[in-house]
Amino acid sequence: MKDSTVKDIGVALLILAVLIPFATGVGNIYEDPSDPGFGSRDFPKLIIFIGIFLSVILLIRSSIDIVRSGQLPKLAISSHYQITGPLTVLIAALLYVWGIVLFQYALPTLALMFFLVRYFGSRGFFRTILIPLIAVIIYFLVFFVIFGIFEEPGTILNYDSYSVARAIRKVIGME
Amino acid sequence: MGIIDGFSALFSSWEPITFAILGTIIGLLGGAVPGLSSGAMIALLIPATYYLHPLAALALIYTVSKASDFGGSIPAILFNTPGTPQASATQIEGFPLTRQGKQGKALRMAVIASAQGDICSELLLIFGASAIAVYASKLGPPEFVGIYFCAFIVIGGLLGKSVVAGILSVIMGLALSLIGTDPITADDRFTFGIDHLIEGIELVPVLLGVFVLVEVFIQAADRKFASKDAPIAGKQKLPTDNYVTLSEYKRVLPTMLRSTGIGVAIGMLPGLGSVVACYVAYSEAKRKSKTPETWGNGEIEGIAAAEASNNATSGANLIPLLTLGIPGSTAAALLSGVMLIHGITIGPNVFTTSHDIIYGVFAAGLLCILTYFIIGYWGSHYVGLIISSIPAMMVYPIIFVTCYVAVYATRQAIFDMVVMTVFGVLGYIMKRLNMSLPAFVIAFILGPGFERAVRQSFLLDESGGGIFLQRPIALLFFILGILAIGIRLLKSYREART
Repeated sequence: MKDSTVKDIGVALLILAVLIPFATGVGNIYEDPSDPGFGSRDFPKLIIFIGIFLSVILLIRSSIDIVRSGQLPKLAISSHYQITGPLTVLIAALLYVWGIVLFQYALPTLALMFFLVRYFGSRGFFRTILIPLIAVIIYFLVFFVIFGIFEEPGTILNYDSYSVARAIRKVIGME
Repeated sequence: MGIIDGFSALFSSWEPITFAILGTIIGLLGGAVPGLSSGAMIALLIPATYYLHPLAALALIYTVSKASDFGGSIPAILFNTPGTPQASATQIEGFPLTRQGKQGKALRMAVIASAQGDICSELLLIFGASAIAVYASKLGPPEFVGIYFCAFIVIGGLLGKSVVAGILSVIMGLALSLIGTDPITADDRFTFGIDHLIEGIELVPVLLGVFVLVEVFIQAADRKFASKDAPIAGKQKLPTDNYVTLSEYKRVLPTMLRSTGIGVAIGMLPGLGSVVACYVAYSEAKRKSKTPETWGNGEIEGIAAAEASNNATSGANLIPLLTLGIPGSTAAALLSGVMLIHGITIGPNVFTTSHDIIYGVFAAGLLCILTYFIIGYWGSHYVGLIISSIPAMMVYPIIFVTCYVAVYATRQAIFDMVVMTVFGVLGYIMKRLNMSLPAFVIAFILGPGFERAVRQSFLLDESGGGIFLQRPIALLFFILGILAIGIRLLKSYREART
């Protein structure tokens, strides 16, 4: 069984997973029956039809390859990191986004930086503590002080970062 | 004259010129960091461009993309690790020269060839694009449908490893561009009950997710960050080992010019790019060489061929974007994203509606070439030293966190962080399945324009699509698209049989 067959099945399934919600939602698009030419639903229908059609063709072709080879498809994974690596980073990212809602920017950013530098193999006080701390301060200076972004209050920890940023802006003569 | 207006615009305030020079330095350093693609680097900078003047924003993005093409050759020559994929042909001849103690000669040959190829390409862009745009501005919706069709087929068919996966990447991009409001009636569609989606999916989270998060996920999966190649430079024997002599320059000049031509021609075609250009030029130069047996052991002509061609694509690949509104490469797609963010309509009318900005960008391109030539000629070795001191294990955490902070900064919306994460995961799965991420993004950006052109064409036509057959230019592009896919499928079929 060729590796490309497994990937083709994956491509077809991914496209179907994305396009099926679109296919079910196309009927909800408002269409004026008196509209001339291509109506509001026609273009989305065309794209969805081509996508589903090509995916089905790909699935059929891959199924024929499977039957011919007599082997079931198997994912070629060279190391467990191929799954656990991105998954760990993804979970960290989602926790970070949630953390910002709960605690605002500073603490979750420091925690994420600390976790990631360690996860990516850095060790020692300078790389795992000092660099994340410096990075958080630089992000704050660039985005909050210079660009003046405003953050929503956290649901657990609530502090006024905007006033802190404004005070720094005044000190450095930006206001 | 347009370019003089461009220089006036560039020097009109501190902002554009500062960001043009800053972009060159960032591109040079970023291009030299192995594993960090120029696409990821540019995507990472896009949120910052929200706060800049449009010319400064475009100058920053354009110069980063230009300088990174040369920057990638520095680690390829010094450490046998190309900083960008397009520097991999340079590595073949560059690293053997380093082992012979001739790294100074190799780096200087690379910067001379890069600058020469880049200047030719930039001049063609400055003087050729506006002429093509005058003609392109007379095209109507049916012609644009043909052009979009051809571009999608060529980009989908050529950018990916598999033709069908490439075409399906385009379909995915088009489908996701449908989310939001109908471009003609302005009614909501495919919002799935999420209010944030009424205005469609924001471009910045998509670009950051697809080009930057995907790279971090890949690094987390492959765990290559722990390994580091030590530089193995030989000892310099002669003073001439440190620079390119006049006789050497004269010997490689025809190769450089030929490779520049190859780079420009390939760069103008959507879907191909600097990687294809550098290998075609390298192979062609080797084929024409009187001493092909010396190639692979440190032949400066090989460096000249690869570098002249890969940099010659950088100006040329903006021609389809500025004349037809079709971004033919990842860098052009990102540049078109910045143009859209700043309300600059991409396409042939850009030369009249945003005259000073566009020529200002061209002027920034010329300034960028001069800047990277000066830094590259006298300071490449120091750039190499800086790069070798940056541990890859620190780069990825920093760019990952920067993505999240930067995407929040664009609209102060937590939802954008979630969208970016979703696109990062989607992009990672697509990459693992050999789908084409540039084709996906280009289709996502062009989707609304394509839909508008299709629907306007049908409004002009009452014969149910016959208008595409009656308009010769539209028909020509349809035929070109079908031919391109036919040739690629035939090639794939032959490869499968052998």
